[in-house]
Amino acid sequence: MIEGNFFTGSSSKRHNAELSLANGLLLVKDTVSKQVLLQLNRPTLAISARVGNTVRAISFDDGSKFETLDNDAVDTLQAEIAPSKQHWLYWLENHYPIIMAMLATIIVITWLSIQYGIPAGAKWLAYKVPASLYAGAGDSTLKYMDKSILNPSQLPEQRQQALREKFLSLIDQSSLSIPIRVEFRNSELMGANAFALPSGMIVFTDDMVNLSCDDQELTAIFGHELGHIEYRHTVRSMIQSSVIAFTTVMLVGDASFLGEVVVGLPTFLLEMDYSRDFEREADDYAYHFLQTNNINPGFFTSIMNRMETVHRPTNTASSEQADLDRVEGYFSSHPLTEQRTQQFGEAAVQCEM
Amino acid sequence: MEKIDPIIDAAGNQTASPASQQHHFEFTGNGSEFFRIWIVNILLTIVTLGVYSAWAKVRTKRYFYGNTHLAQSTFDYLADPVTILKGRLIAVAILLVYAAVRTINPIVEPLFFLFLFLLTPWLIVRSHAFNAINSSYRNIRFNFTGTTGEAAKEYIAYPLLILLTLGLIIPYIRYRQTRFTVDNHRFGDQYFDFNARVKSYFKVFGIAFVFMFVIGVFSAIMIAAVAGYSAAEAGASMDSQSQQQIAASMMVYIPIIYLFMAIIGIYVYVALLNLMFNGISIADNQFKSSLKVRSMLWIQLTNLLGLIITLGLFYPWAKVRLAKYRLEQLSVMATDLDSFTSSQADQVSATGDEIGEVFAVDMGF
Repeated sequence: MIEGNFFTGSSSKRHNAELSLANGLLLVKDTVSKQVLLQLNRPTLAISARVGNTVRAISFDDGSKFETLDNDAVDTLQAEIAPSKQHWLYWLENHYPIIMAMLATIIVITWLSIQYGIPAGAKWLAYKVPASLYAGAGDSTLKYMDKSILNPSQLPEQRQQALREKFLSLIDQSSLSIPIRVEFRNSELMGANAFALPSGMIVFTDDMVNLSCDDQELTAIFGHELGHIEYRHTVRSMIQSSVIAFTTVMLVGDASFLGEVVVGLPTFLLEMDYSRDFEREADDYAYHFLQTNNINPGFFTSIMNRMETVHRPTNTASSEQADLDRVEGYFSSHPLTEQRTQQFGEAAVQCEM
Repeated sequence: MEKIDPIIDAAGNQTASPASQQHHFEFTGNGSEFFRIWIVNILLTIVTLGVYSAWAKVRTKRYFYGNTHLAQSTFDYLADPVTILKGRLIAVAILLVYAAVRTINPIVEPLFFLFLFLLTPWLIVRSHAFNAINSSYRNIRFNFTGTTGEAAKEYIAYPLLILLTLGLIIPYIRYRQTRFTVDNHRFGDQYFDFNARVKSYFKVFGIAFVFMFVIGVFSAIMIAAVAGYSAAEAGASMDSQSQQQIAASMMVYIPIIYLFMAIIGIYVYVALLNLMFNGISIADNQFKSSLKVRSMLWIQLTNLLGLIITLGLFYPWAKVRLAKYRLEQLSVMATDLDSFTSSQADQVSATGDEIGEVFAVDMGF
């Protein structure tokens, strides 16, 4: 006999009831008055799957329902009359060694996905997009930037053209999947900088050009940006952050009113991590680019060092500052300059700004 | 299971008809039990490449509904995982198309959000309907009968007036949206009734606005102070010490400003939940919600901290704590919970609910 509540399905009245099944005859009686509420011969019962210790429902053909907290009794009843449905889930959920093993598996899978799976998947997908589509895209991004943070370049037209020709003479356009173009813009906000758009557009800021004391330094930067385009970094990073944001929302999105932080933080930190990987890849590309063109890789070191001095005017050489820099590394989109320039060797030129 | 409180409060005000009883909602779930359910759900979802997620959703919902007690009975979630799976597949397909197109042409992004914005009324109606029809209490189902047209009025037409009225209409819009949601919900054949006053909505938003204004002034003063300090240093180039001082003071002010913003956010969240539930009645049974800003802030901040420290593994406890607090502050002044009768209900597709979930459209109920 199982004690619980009986609901007819047509009214919300709760009957304190007891259910019994003997010789194929199912009886639901009112606990107090002993009045028979339901009598079924060889009934078809739908017993809800056990979820933790929540109330269990036994539904009958006529739409009525018996609910009870006596889960063990229902399990016994179920074993007698019907094959248990989804009971293996409850079994899994209540064996701690299994839970621990599953937890360990999830942690390993998560780690592997972040470390290898997601980057590899994004890379595969990014190369699946035909190069012709990239060529068309991205110009709208530059148009948008021209309206907001970029101004026309102040550099003389001849200087721009000379640099453009110098850079493009070093590459074999036919061997690249995306045609490369070079532009110059002035931007106070961005300072000395260069960036690449997925369409094959490489943009130098005036400050960047003025910061160099040898054009080969700009060639080194050009090589780095070329790496970003050839390796499809923009698109790969878009895919990666979408996947991570989506997964985080699915797993823990609704736990907190402050949900943006919960979703935003891992997305941001992993994005920074991936971004540093991309910078390393682009650096490697630049290194080989300079070597193939018989240019001293040290030009990369010299321009990077100078950029760092410009971006960080107070250069306190204390160990405290160095520690701070190292911590900052985890939150920054670029690896530390010191690490980046290692493979490029000594600075090629020294000059006073 | 149930606490029965005297219906006459200390001031001698009779808050409901003499025959009414206060039934408190109670939540009996616990974090470690839900943790195990969650872990199995995640693993099976990974192993099945996401297909199991629909079953996981039903199991999670059943855990939360089944642990929600009111007047010696619990709630039940009856959705069919296959229906949810279909909805999810459609939602994922839309998301993939969007992601692919966005990659190729960023201009598509605003168009896509415009499309999603225009789709919102339909999503809201579908989502409410799917959730309601699959929820039952005492073997009687809920239902939602609002139409897409009505939803379009509340979620698109009225919000268009926000700019025109410089935002002054926002509390009224919020009131109308809540009224739309509540009034169109049904338990059995009885409709819920929303009886909150518009004035209360203006009060909540007004208080939030005043506090935001104070914080705005406070930040402006801080910025001015820092700028003034920098100006005083001008002439001589700034040494690293003064820079570090500015950085240090910003490290103090910025978290304080964030904390104040969080408090205001929680205040609005709590006040709107209380306003909604205190405004809900059904057949002479009146809901009552008494959430407190301080308790909610504590739960939310500790949940956030727990999630960060455990890299997300605290999630089951966070979700249970929030549900427990929200439900245990909720009660019904009931005259009669036994006389609701069922109504014929149609099956509703899950697509709306699932698309809404994927794109995190706020359903607010």
